[in-house]
Amino acid sequence: MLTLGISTSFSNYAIIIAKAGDVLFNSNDLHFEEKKNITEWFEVALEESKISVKDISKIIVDIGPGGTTSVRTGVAFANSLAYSLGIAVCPVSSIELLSMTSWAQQKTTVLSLIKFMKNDYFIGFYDGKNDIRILYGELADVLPDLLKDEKSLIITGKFQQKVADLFPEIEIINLGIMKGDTELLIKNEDLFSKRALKFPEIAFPISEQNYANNQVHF
Amino acid sequence: MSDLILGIETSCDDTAIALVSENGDVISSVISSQIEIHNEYGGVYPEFAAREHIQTIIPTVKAAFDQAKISPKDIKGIGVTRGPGLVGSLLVGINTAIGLGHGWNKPVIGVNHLRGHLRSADLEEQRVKFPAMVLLVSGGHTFLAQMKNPMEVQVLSSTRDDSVGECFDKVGRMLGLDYPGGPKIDKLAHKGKPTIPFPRPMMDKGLEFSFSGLKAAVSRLLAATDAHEDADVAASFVQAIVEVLIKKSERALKKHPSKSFVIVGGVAANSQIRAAAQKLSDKMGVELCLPPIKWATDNGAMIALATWDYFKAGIIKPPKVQLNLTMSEF
Ligand SMILES: [Zn+2]
Repeated sequence: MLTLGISTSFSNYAIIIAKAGDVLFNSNDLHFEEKKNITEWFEVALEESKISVKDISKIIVDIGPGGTTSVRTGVAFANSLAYSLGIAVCPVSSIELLSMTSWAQQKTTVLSLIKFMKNDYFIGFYDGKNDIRILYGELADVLPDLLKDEKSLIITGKFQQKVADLFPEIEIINLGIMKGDTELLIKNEDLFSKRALKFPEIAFPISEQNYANNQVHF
Repeated sequence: MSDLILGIETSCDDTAIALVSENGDVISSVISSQIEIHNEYGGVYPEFAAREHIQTIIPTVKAAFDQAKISPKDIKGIGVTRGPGLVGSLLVGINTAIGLGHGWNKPVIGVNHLRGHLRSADLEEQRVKFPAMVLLVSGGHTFLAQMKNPMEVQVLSSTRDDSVGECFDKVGRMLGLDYPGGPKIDKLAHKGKPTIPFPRPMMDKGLEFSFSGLKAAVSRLLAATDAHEDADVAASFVQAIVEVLIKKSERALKKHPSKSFVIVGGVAANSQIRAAAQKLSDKMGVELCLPPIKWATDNGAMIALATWDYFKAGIIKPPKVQLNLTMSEF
């Protein structure tokens, strides 16, 4: 009974294999001269950890937002592996990974920003008490309502200044978090497992389109 | 039992999956088309094509197995288009194939889309006699090649600019027709007369094609005057295309004697091309092989049949995207 974690939103693609919460393999612990794609990492994982594909009983996959091509690659692989093994796939947003990475370091409200198209951002708001809220749009349109009660905030990603310009009264804390900790896919397995999708349900990469149509479950 | 190959084709805007036996019997073939999505843009919009593939590919795989009433454990392997094509679309097919291969413990090999087209004329029944002259005319490609056998192919010419299919789509758009323009122009052309003397680019020498001059001539005419019926424009345009294709094919057949003349690719559906090809074949004493339209356009079965060739020849290409794969590669 193994869990496979797949993440392709951040520059370090991750393949993680875990057994009952213990990480047996994490591709980020290895370094190769050549950049590997996600399925090549999976093959390294099989070889290094000497596991059998048949023992994988659950897949947790990062569905972005991130590089559209890389996320699509990871999600297509996760869906087909889950389908062919007859197991479930659990989608997790990269925004949620970023926010949880920040929360694990400091228990302060987190705003995670990922730029998607033109001036539009995926915006995650996480206060540790409620489920993460994920919104989409221009910062000036989305943030005023979201931040109306905030005095200080951690912002992940590289757009601190944009928020500071819009809200000079809010104290902005920069922990320098640019990537999500992909082992959180495993550390928060119980939470993510509640979203398990089994064919005919499949995971989709997040886009402005399926966000607007309410088709992604975060 | 392990005598079927699963073919996966996602190089452009169709998600196409098929199960095919060694001698080309198509046990099942399912195609999920995106025409309605791309119609709005007058052509294929790559980002939306890739998004659509990811939604439809697993259900399409399932449908192919359901239709064939077999289990994945009964297949020999999986063949997937690795190029040429749109990167986002190819990546969905390839990564899906790799995942299925791991889950079912089956080999996965990458296949050249063009080699799939070349083999499409032998689906369901063996039609092609070698050596064969093949004219591939599709939205992405236009070339003449001679096949000595299923694996040995000599490319004789290609297009210097647009493919025939592109030319049809663009002229279709100029005439206000929906994407894809080919079938609609064909229909419209039947109602008109070929009264306009459009140029026949590079008609008099060599085997190379060029269609941008013809496309530009249509555009200039439509901008300059409303004096012509659209049907006559379509008829004249189609006549110019057909004359060029047939003339070049005739020249190729004279230079490279062949037993069959094969036309594949979406444009092979054009009724005037089919009629003119029959005339040429009769004149040259070769057998004309026109696969049914469903095999002439992109499909998974042609990829599966080409995969059989690869397996038999021991050419095991890893499933990795190669965008500009040429005919001479595998
Ligand atoms: Zn094609």
